[in-house]
Parts: sequence; structure tokens; C-alpha cells
Amino acid sequence: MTSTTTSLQFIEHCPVPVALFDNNLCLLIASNNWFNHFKQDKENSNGKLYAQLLPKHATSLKNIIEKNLGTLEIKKGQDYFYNDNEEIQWLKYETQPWIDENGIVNGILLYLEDITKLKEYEKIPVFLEETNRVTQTGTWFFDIDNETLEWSADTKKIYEVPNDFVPDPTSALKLLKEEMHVKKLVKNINNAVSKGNPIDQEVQIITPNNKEKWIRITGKTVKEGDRSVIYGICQDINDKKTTESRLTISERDRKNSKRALDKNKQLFTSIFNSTFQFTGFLNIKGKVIDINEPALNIGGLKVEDVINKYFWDTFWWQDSEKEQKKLKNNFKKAVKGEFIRYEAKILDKNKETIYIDFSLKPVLDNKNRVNFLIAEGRVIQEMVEARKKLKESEKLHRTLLELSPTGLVLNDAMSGEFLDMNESFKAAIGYSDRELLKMNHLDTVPPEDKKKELRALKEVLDNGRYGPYEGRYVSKNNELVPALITRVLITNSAGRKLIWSVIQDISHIKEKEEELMEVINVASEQNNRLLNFAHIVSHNLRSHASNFSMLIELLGIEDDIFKKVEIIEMLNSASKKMLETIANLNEIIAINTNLNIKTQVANLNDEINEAFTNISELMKNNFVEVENNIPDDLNIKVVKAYLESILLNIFTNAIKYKAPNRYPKIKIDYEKIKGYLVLTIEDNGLGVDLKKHGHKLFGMYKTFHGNRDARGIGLFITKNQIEAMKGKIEAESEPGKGTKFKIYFNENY
Amino acid sequence: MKTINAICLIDDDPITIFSIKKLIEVTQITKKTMTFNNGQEALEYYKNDEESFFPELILLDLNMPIIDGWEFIDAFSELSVSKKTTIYILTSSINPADIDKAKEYDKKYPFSIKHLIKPVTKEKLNSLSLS
Repeated sequence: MTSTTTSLQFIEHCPVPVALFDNNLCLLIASNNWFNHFKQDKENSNGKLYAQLLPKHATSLKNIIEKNLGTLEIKKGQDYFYNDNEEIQWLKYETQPWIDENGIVNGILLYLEDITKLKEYEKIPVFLEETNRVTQTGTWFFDIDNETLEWSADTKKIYEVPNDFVPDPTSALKLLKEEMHVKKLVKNINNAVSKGNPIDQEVQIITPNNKEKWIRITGKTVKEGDRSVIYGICQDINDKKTTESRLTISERDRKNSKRALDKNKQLFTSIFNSTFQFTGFLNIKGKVIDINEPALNIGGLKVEDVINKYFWDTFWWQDSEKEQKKLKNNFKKAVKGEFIRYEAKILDKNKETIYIDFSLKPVLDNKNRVNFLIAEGRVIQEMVEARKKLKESEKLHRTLLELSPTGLVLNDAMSGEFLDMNESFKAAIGYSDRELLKMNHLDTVPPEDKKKELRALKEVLDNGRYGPYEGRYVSKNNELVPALITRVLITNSAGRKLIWSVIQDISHIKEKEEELMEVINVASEQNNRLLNFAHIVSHNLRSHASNFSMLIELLGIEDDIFKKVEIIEMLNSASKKMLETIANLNEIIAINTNLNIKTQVANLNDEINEAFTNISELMKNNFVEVENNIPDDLNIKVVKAYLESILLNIFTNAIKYKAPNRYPKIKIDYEKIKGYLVLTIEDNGLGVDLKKHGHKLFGMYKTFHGNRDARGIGLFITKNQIEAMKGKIEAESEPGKGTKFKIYFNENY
Repeated sequence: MKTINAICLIDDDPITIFSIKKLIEVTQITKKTMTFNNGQEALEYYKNDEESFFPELILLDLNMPIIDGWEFIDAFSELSVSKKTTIYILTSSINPADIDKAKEYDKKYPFSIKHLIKPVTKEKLNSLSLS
């Protein structure tokens, strides 16, 4: 048993885990290494079943042992188990039958070897290969001193060269595409050798298949004894490069599209802001979430004035409550998805109402819910233009109204109240606007003109206009203002009927007209008188001249000397008559040209009495009765000589042409008529048939009664004298009853 | 040429009457001349029922007292004898209005009314004619 014991001792001290089991698979002995390896207690292990002593997961080993118990076969294999730290442990095992000297199998011997580390090493090339495949990586080796270059199969694959290709540095560098890469690679290798710097470079190669690809070459110098070698990796990075460039491109695209997006946004903003339209976005509660510049400009507002405010509360909608309500109601409809469009009135920055073509457009999301609303408004430009024009023309009209020298007045057609008037009218009528605005048209019409004025107003209402007609206003000073009036009916936008009146103050014109008429009258009267006078002169002088002519002719015919003397006497008489006529004409000329005229205040009664004194003889002889009703204090302004002549002439006439059957009576009275002192001298004489002779009563050389001494000059001179004193003379007469002269003395003379 | 039975001369101016009467005698255009100082006197003659002789031609002054020439014509036109009479208005007026009035009267009445502008001469008297 010594050998057995020795053998057993040998087992005990064996440096590897070894265990000997009997045929019952109970442990006989195990090496110390075994116990160390499996961390088992040596003292309690003898006699234990193998199953308790083997790692629990080593199932394949357990099976082998059971099968080979009692056989002479030697089994080898590997198995693994998890140790207490749950680490995998690989075991290499070998079973041998324990045979004694008798060749009897007494048990089974189990050798174990921990090959966990070995197993790791075994994996490396696999991993490497796998790594190479996955990462498309190959290896290379460069012996610097011998200039030997070795490529792994993967490297050759990358280079797309056959497996039997033998690379050398020259041919390898030739495969590089860029000269620059070659230089850099050579430099990197030199640096790696001399300084030990690692190589890491991306280069582009052209394969024998004429394919361009990017590869990454890395390498590290390793000292092996006194020589240096470089172990390196070659990686196909073409995909990465392509991806990279693709990524670059896509990055560029992304940037581009971002730029485009920014641009779009910018474009949108600029459109949003530069549109002429009023544009804003409202949230579904009606608050302004964005608004464009034109909209703000319309109202002269800033963004903060409106943003996040209820749209209807913003400045634009303060035109009227009605507009605000309308907007609110329409918003309610719009927020339910209805498109709203209507003409709205909003305020502009001058607080003027402007009209906009307004719309509310709901914007829906993909679930058909209103997301927000677009409020849009187009200022109705025509209206703005029209308003502008209206304003201009209003200004023009106002200016014209104010500056017009013609009075312009606006009255209500129905009530007659004054509504507007210009300076000219106020100046003419003397009232201020405040006074006039409380007055009625008829207050300014003179009472006597009211009927006429009402007719005129009726014409205006019936026909739309009336005039120009001459009417009158009463000024504040109660003076009449004559005016040329044109009235036009207009109906304003509210349907109110108004009358515009154009009132031309013609008081100056009227005055001038009167003056002119007077001048014309005087002139035409003078003209008539002159013409008349010319005819008188012509007629009377020609009468005498023809008498001369005829008498002289007779003088030539007549032989009888006595008859000739008779003719010569007649010539003498004719000559005297002509001189007399010329004297009369001179007198008339003197009166008419106002020669020697001297105005004096005369007492009328004094003058009358003076005249009677002058003809006292005549009066006495004819038993003339006088009734003088002139007061003693009555004075008149006259040319005294004319007054004398007039009185004398009329009194004389009254006596000369007395009625045959009664004594003459002269009645003298006076009255005052419109600026005249009218002296009436009435007689009871023959009278004159004025129907027959009226037109020539005051004519020259007109006689009416066949009296031998009538010269037909007296009343003609009287008339001329009274007219020279700006007066006039009239006569009333009835044949057989008497004559009444009315002598008008002008008080303003 | 038919002789004028008589000429009636109506004028208030004695010198005119004298001169014309004398000239009529010299020219012998008629054998008889009747003279009146005014229209009134002449009318009285024409109206006198006892008279049966009427001059066929009247030389008539216009400017006369009581009844002037025009008034005479108006009154004369009412007499039946007027139809056989030619009236010459004697006038020193060269006023066209007077001449127009003469023409107007000529149209107005059935008898002839012409005018004779003073001074009267032998030649003018010789040219007088009855209508």
C-alpha cells in the first residue's frame, strides 16, 4: 500500500486541482490546490459525494464522471460554472480510471484545469475578427529597418487587392489619391518613428478597381529589442465620410431651410406690416394677439395700446357704442365659425370716423375648431378721398362764404331760423351772429314787405329757387337795407330743408340809381329845354327873317312910292319885333344859365305886398279883391328878382284875363308838400281850357285869349324862373271860372 | 291849269298877311284873297250858313292865339266844305317834327294838307296847286 499511499500523497501535493473518487463516487483524496480552487473545507470533504464537491453548474462534467465510472476510457472536455462571485469560470477536465496493480478499477481520477483566462485569450482573435468585420478595419505592420510592410486580409479587402498581394511602402503610397495625403502620411510615419507620436490620418485612396474611398490609418510604434516596428490599423471610413458629407449637406439643407423659413417669416411680417389693410389676429376670446402697422397707423396707436385687449375696447371702435356692440355680436358669430363681413365705422387718429370694409375670418385647426380669427379691414379709399375733397371744398366754401362781399345766409326753410351767415350780411344788417342765431327770418323783414316775402318763400319751396328779386331787410338800427336777393332751397343729408340766400346789399346802388335818375332827369329836362329853346329861337327868328325877305321882295316889285314907304315902315316894325324877340330869348337864356343869380331868404308876404304895390294902379282901376292867407313869418329861399317877376306876372294875368262880368279876386294860400313850399294863387278870371291848351300854357309865344297886347311870353318866363330855382309850376283852370297856379318852391334850394 | 277860286290866308302876324296878300296879287294865282287873324275867325266864316263861297285853298299859320293851326284843321275837318279844300301850312319852322306832323295830318284827313315853308315867294306861290 506504500505505492498507493505515495500515489495518494502525490495527489495531495499536486499543483493542479486533482481529485480521486472511489467507485461509489465518494471522494478519497483531493489536491490542496483543489480545495483552494473551489474554496472547500479539506477536513470535511473526505467521503463526500462528488456532486457535493463539484461546482453546481458543471453539469456536463457530472455526466461524464457518472458515465465513465468503472470504464477504462479517458475523457477530456471543457465545462464552465459560475463561482460565488457569479463570475464564469472555465474548466478543462480529464478523467482517468484508477487501476490498481491488479488491473482492477478502484475509482476515477479527475484532473481539472482553470482555463478561464485561456478562454478569454481564445476569444480575442474572434472578437478581433468580428470587430474588423463590423468596423471594416484591417491591420498592418511595418518593419522600419527592413522596410517590410504587411497587410492583414481585412486591410487587403479594404484596399480591394487580392489576398496574395504583397504590399510595400512604395506601392502602398501610390494608392493614395492626394499628393498632400502622401506627404502628410510620410511625415506622420517619420514622426512616429523618431518621436513615438501616434499616427492617425484620414486619406483618400483609389483602389485598383478605380474606386475612390476614404480610409483612416492609425499606428503606434513599438520597440522590439533594439528595433522599432509600427503596428497599425486601417479602417474603411468611406461610409462615414459619405455620411459625414451627407450630414454636411443635410446640415446645409437644414440651415438653408431654416434661412428660408426665417425669410418666409420675415416676408410674412413685412407683408403683414406693409399691407394697406388693417390686419390683426384675435384669439377666441376676442383679444388682440397681433396687429399690423397700418392698423396701428390708422389709429395713431402703439402695439402695447391694443395687444391683449379686447378688440372692441380698442381705440378704433370708440366711434360709437353701436359700432362696438355690432362688432361684439359679429365676433360671437365669427367665433362659431362664421365668416363675417360688413362696412364698419372706426375712428382714425384725428378722431374722424372712417369707413372700412371689415371682415372677421375664423381660422380652424385640423379638428375644425376655431383656433384664432383674422380681423381685416380695407379703408374705403373713395370715402377717404371724398371726405378729403369734401373737407377741401368745405374749406373753400367757408372761405368764399366769409370773404364774399355778398351777404350769404342759411335759414331753416320751415322755421325760418338763422343757421349760418357771413360777415358781409352781418355788416349790412348790424346784428352779431349770436343775435341772429336767436332770430327768425321774418324778424328781419319790414312789416310792409312781409306778404311779398312770404310769396317769395313759397316760390322757393315750390320751385327750389327764387330771384334775383329786390327785397328789403330791417337792420338793427331799424333802417331799411335794400337788397337784391336770390334764394335757393337745399335739402341736407338729414332731410332738413334749408334755404341759402344770396343777398346783395344794393343800398349804395339804390342811392346811386336815384342820384343817377335825378341827374338823368335834370339832364333830359335840360336837354328838352335846350331843344325846345333851339326850336323857339329858330322858329321865331326865322319868322322875322322871312318877313324881312318877303317885304324886301315886295319892295322890289312895288313901283308906287307910297306903297314902298308903307313897306319900309313895315320893315321897321319887323325889325323892332325881332329885337324884342331877341331880348326875350336873352332873358330866357339868362334864366337858364343862372347868370346873375343870387339866392336870398325872402319874406313871402313882403314880396307879395311889393308886387301889389307895383301894380296898384291896375288893381285900383279893376277893383281887384285880394285874400292873402300867407302868415307874416313865412320865409323862403329864392332869387328875389325871379320871385318878383313870377308874382307880378301871375297877378297881372289874373287882372288882364278877368272875367267880363265880375271883379277880379285873387286868393293866396300855401301848403308844404314833400320838401316844397307850395304857393297857390287862385283867380276868378276867364280860365283856360287846359284840355285844349294845357300843353302850351307855359309855352313861348302862346296866347289864348286874342288880347291884342298878349305877348305869349310871361308864363314861359315864369316857368323858366321857377325851374331855375329847382321848383315847378302847375295850373288848374276851367274856362269861365278861373285859374289856380301852384308854384312849388324847393325848400332845399 | 285850273284857277283857284280864292285863297284864304290865316295868320296873326299883320306883316305876313300884308306881304303874302301882296305877293298873291302880283302872281295873280287867284283873283280873291280872304284874310283872318286867327283860326277862330276863319272857322266862324266857314261855319256861317249864309256864306256860300269858300276858298279852295287855305294858307294856314300854326302859331296863333285862341286856336292854333292844328286846332283849326281838327275843327275844319268836321265841315263838309273841307273835302274841296287844300290846306298849305305856312311855317317858318324847319323843325322836322312839324313837317312830320303835317304829313300825319294829311293822312288823317281826306283833304290834302301840305306845307309851305316861309318866306313865301312868287315862285312858291306859282307852284301851289290844288289836289
